[in-house]
Amino acid sequence: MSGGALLEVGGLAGGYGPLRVLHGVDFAVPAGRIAALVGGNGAGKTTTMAMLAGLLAPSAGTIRYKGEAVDSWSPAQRVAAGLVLVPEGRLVFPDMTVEENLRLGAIGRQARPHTAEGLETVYGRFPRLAERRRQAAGTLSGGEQQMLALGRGLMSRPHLLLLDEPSLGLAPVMVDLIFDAIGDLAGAGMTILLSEQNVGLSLELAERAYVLENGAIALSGSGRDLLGNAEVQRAYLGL
Amino acid sequence: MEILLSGQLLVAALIIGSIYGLVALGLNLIYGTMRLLNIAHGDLVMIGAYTGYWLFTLAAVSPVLAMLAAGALAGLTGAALYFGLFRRQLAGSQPIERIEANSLLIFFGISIVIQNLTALAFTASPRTYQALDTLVRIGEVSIAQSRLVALAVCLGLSAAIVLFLRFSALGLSIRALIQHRTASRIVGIDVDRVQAFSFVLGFALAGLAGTLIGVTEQISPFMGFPFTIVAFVVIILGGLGNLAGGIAAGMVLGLIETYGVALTSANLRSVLIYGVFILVLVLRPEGLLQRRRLT
Ligand SMILES: Nc1ncnc2c1ncn2[C@@H]1O[C@H](COP(=O)(O)OP(=O)(O)OP(=O)(O)O)[C@@H](O)[C@H]1O
Ligand SMILES: [Mg+2]
Repeated sequence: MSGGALLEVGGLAGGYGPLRVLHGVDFAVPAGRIAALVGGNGAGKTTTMAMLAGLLAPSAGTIRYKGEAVDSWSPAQRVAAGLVLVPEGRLVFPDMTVEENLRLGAIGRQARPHTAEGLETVYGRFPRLAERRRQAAGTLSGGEQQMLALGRGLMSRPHLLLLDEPSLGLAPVMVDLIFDAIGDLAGAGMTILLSEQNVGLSLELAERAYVLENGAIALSGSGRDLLGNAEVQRAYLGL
Repeated sequence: MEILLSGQLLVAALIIGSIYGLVALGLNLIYGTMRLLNIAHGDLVMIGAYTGYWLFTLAAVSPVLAMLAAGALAGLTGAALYFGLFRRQLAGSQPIERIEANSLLIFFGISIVIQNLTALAFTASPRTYQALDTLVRIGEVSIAQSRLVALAVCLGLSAAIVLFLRFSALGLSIRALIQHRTASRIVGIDVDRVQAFSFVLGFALAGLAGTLIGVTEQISPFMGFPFTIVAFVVIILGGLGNLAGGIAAGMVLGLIETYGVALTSANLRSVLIYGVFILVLVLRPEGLLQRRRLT
């Protein structure tokens, strides 16, 4: 593990059939910190996340997690090792109850014995989910579904949480609530890779930040550096 | 008119309905988890019927035991097909719509092969046998023991499977895979294992039901196709991938068929079933054409 990085990505390339989206992406996520992956629509953030979770096979590059190459691991093996995705668009199971969704987060062999304590933790953090535990997930509001997606991810007992657009389409109050939760998790030592269009908020939180443009890293630095960067301010912060 | 009120007819309808429900459950499980359109499903019923026939004729094995052998045989056939053929397709990067369309053609071929091999081995002439044929009287109603066994087994197994889906971890995974394939992979469900299990269970149920069907119906290499059609009607009626709904829909189709035939004529049996099929497709085309989003 070089320099205490939990995740190291090198030369990641690929896309969907003939469409090449990523052209060699390099970045690292330091252990116990938040790293941000920012960029405009269609830059390839979700594609990167899908490759990290094992949902999409890259055509080139390596992904090292805890010092091990995980390129050939199935999504289930990655989840079992603590590499857990909270996907863009939530992707909850709409006809299942809130509690069934959470139980599914702990469906892997490693996490399943800890289902009860996991539920307690998640309900403690998001009391609204506890009130709605028997409600079908598809009937929750967007913000509640995001809480559920985050809670489901936590049920997997992650070491590295991949958060893809957790604030997308949420009202400001909800955005605050979700970002508070992310800050708390990081404070408790969780490693997080955060992909966001809400560039300002994520750069404030991030120890390391990367700007993805047209399938490659265009800029990188500490979150603070990038916040002060004139190009970032112009392109992403509307300053 | 009087016959319509008889308990005899109602019991007959329930027996047929429960058999339809169980046969369709296997098809629905495979369609729901993998989007494979198994039009050879009825041929597993046929294999189960022959298993019962030969075990009884050659070794005097009761259909109650033979159905377990038939389930195992059909399940093994399922395992061979899953691991030999479909696993690789499902693991590849093809869009699920293409896999679905291809599966129809592949299973069509499999169906033809199974039917012709059976005809080659056992001739095409229909067979029947007499087992469990003592009449049991329950109040006004008298039914053959074999049909009572069929009712009990089909209802019992359907209920057991619904409970299993509801309360076990594997059942939860199956329901999750039916609802959202990508989300299932994200939460770390071992999709390959769930698929293999569903495939084998779906085949085994058809084989097992086939033995029960073969005790009371004519057995021939080509007896399966009507059951394929019935199973499709049932799962479209109950909702594709909706397993509990399909069991209820099996009952509904059993009632429609039994009372429809009683009101008209036995010759109209297929007309009734295809009629329901067409009617459902006209009234609820979303049943077949517009399924839940599949990403
Ligand atoms: N399933 C898919 N099939 C084909 N092309 C896709 C698919 N998903 C994404 N793309 C394309 O890949 C490119 C990158 O998309 P991606 O979703 O990774 O971007 P993003 O950075 O996450 O954007 P956003 O901020 O809008 O979420 C886009 O041009 C998109 O059209
Ligand atoms: Mg995205």
